[in-house]
Amino acid sequence: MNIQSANQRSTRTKVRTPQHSPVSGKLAMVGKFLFAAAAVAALLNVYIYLNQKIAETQRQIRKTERVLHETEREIAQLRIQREQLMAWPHIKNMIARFDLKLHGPNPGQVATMSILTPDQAARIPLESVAAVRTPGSGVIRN
Amino acid sequence: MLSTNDKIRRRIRILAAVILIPIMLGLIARFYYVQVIDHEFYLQEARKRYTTTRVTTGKRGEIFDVHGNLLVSNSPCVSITCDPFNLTGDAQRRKLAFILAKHLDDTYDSFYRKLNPVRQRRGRDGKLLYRPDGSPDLVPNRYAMIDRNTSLQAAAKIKEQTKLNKIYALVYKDSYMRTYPKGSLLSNVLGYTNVVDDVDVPQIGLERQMNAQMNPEEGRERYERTRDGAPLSYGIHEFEQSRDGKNIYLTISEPIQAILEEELDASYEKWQPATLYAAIADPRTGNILAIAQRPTFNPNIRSTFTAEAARTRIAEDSMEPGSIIKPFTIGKALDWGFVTPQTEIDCNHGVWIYLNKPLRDSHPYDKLTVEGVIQKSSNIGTAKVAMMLGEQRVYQALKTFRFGDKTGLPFPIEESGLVLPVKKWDGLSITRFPIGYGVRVTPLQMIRAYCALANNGKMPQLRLIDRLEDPVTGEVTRIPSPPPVQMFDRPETCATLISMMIKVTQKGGTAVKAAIPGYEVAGKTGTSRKYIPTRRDSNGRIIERGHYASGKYFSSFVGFVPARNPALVMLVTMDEPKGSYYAATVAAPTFKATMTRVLRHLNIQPDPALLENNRTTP
Repeated sequence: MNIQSANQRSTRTKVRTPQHSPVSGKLAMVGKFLFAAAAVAALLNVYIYLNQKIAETQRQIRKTERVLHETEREIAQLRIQREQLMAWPHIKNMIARFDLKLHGPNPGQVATMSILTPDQAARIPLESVAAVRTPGSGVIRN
Repeated sequence: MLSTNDKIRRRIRILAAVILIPIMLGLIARFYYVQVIDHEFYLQEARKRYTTTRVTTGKRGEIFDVHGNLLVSNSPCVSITCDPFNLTGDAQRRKLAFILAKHLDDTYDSFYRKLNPVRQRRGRDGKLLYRPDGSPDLVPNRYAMIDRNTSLQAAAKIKEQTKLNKIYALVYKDSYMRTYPKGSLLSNVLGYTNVVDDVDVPQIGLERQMNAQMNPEEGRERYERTRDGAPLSYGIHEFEQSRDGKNIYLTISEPIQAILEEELDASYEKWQPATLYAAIADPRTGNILAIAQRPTFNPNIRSTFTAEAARTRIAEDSMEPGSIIKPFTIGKALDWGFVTPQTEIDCNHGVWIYLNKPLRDSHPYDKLTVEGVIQKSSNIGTAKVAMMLGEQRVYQALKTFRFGDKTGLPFPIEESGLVLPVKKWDGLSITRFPIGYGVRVTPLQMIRAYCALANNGKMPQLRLIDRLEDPVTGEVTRIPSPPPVQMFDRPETCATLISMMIKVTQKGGTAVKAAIPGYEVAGKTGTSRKYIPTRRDSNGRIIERGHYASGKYFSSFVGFVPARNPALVMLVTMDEPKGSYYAATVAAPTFKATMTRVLRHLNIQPDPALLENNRTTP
């Protein structure tokens, strides 16, 4: 009986050794590495791109907020100017400057007109409405 | 057996271990200390360096009239400062001074001085400092205040021109300036604020009294920042919103206020009194519709401020009211059944000696009914009705109408007036207090008392503030008003008294000039000599005893219209009018002129029957 352990070892070695060529194995390794690196780079790029976008959007938001703020301040300024122009001393001066022949009404000359909703109009007693009442549109009161 | 080299190597290893291991252990310990034990401290220190806290301020509350017309607001403006060290040279300094002088209210020279890139240091005592060699101790000037309240338009032009000229030394900060768009309208009631360290500090009026409600709350924004100061999208971002102060809506009606102010201007010019004040109220609600005084000031123009003009006289001054107080004693005498309108009173032909002191009427009358006493404003008649009541009841009558009690309107200072308790009365008091001498009342107290007469005997609580509004949430808080209190025991008394007071403005009455065609006007004139109080020096010694000044009078008229269904109560008081001092001549026409316009504004129609009477009566 011839038992040779050396043969067994060589057989085992053969089994363990891959059948592919060593170059293709290395290429596969490089390919995997490149793929992983590309994936990481792509993720990094996306991350940087998104960050840039966020920063850009924030800049735009700040700019718009600033414009809004300025507009609000201008509106506030205009509102005050409107009130100044509506003050009676100013109106009186304008009447005098343009020589408008205006004077206060005599008693009984004043009539007010209230535009009411149909519900509001329905709540007003008919006898209190002296002149005209048009259902659904409004009430004219002397 | 170890060789020599091995021994050396071993020693080196041992030495290295002895040195390096403790170092390593030390480092590990330090890392542990920094990263674990002191982690929070270092984290906070780091955050301090890359986080910013920005303080934001809300806007001070605005003041509106009852209809929402703006009376006090915050005008957006720009605060401009400069870092003169950033100017490239004298040419740029001159150019900037020129631009600023062109758009702002100051001179070129003034701006040129402000823009000096160096300044002389000052000591703690404010004196300029010098170096040991006698030369000025100069330091770089990094801050110059150019203008606090620049308008948006002017700031925009300055910005544009400095950009064109490549001047980068100016710093613009958004701010707000308290503005009174209606100028002097209601200024004594509204008050004004001063600015101290960019904060509005209220001085007088509602600005001061309602400061707690109108004051804004500061907000804070804490965030991690980039190198250029912009907030990072990630990291800490804490935001505490600033809150605007509450808006105040007054019971004042701007159109009525404008009418009153215009009529007061005319009267002030005509009669040139030392002071003149008036108020209009709604007797049903106690709402004050208008308050005005002369002299006054424009809160936007500081040069118009004087101590006399800035006081709210209608609340701060009290006076001896004279005859306008008569209806209250007589009204209570009617109510308690001591007299009727037809009870006859002997008026002693114009002079009545009581306790050796004469009491006079302006015109001599023998006998007058109680109605006639009111119509003719007889001092003797009123004093005799008061004598029927007795001291205690006269005091009770005056106190029932709350003379001597504050009205509680939101003025920083309100005089309470003076009605002495009975134990302090002398023998003459009962004849003088009911005719308006010896008692002091404020015009507001008189308005309140007349509101009670006009409101069928029910005294309302006077109101000046209608509601508060939160500008952010829009939540409105109405200021409650207690129900009016009935002044008379018998319901018909008030109507009887009003009928008597209507005669005051009719033919034969003292205030015919207050009558308005088409309307019944109830009212009362009052002319009282001005009391000059006792003056003392710094040691308390009397310089001048209290006395009634010769030729100086308070002339007042109070009335309500339409008398049987009153919508308006108005008081006019002139202090020391020139030319005439009779209330019927100086105050009553002001009442008529104002009320005529206000009635038209409120569209309160005249009574056609009364208009017809006016036409037929010569």
